[in-house]
Amino acid sequence: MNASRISAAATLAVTTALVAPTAMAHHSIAGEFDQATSFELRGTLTQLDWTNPHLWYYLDVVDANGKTEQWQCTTGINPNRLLRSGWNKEDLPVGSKIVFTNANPSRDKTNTCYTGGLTLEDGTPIFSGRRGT
Amino acid sequence: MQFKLTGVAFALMVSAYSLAQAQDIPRLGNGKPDFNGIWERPYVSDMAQTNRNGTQTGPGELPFTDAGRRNFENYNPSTGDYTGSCMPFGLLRAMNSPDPIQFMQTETHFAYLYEQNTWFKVVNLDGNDHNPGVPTWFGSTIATWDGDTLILTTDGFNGKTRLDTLGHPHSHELVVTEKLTRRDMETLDYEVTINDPIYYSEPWTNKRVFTLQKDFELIEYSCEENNKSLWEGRIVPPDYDSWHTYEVEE
Repeated sequence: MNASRISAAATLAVTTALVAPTAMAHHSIAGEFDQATSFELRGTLTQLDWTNPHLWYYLDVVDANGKTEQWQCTTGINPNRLLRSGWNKEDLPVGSKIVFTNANPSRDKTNTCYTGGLTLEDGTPIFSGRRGT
Repeated sequence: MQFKLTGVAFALMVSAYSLAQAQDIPRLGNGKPDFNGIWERPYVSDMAQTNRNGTQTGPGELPFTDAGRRNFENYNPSTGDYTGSCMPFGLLRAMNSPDPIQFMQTETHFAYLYEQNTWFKVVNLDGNDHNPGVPTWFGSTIATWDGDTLILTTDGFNGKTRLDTLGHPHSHELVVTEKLTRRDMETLDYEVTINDPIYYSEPWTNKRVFTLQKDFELIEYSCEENNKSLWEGRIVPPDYDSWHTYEVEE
């Protein structure tokens, strides 16, 4: 995936990350994703895999030309840690408008990313910190 | 006389205080420190480093041998990631995991129960070598005591793992010494020393602080459940023919 492809698909800016996002994954993120490149991805959640070893999000992303593309993105977080922080799968229902801030593209150049931060469209953080605090 | 009495009283107070301190940790029926419990520990992705909150202290620069430095500099997880492939992490990567660990201990055995991938490791506390005679992912451990410190000395590794997420290597000759000391009711000091003459010119140590958790139990964790990056090809299993930078005897 090159910068122009990300721009077309994600409709938003690509930046070079100065600091890689904090990861709690059990294995190296660097082998799978390009942490030197980050971008913002906005879309509508079509499926959430509440599974180990990590969550997977599936999104419909509409580009600047009105074309819809499917994306899949993962995170270093696992359900066990979220459950202990008060979060549940139901906190992010299918159809939610979500934003991945500081996402990293996969090295295989498919529509796959590492999420970085996750918020609702209005900026409300999801699956971050302890729920309700 | 008054001075002598005061001195004696002070000595008694110090003794009583020391005794209270020594006893202010839970113990088993045989008087040994009790390490039972679920422990939150720091995620250690780089054993050389010291973290900001003081729960991990590393040595900084590691004393690589030439073979060790060459191995580390050539490590590329995008061409071979054994933990991403859900293979056994080995003792060090399992201890470095961000997920909680439970210690279960009796007077005869000590068990590591890792939430990470729902693995376990059991050590006989009789002080004898129970090496099964074949190399293993988590090694073979002899347990001894130094006062209230439990010392777990492990060798017999199969050489197919790495020390941490960053990829610091170890050879088949790795000997790991873990020291567990219960500081108080809530805290455990964990110290791990790496002795691997093939990849490091001298032993080096990483120290951590574990905190007892009473609010939750371990939860099942299946690495294989939805490891889709592996079967979609973004994670590649390791090539063990090129894993080491020294001649490995078969």
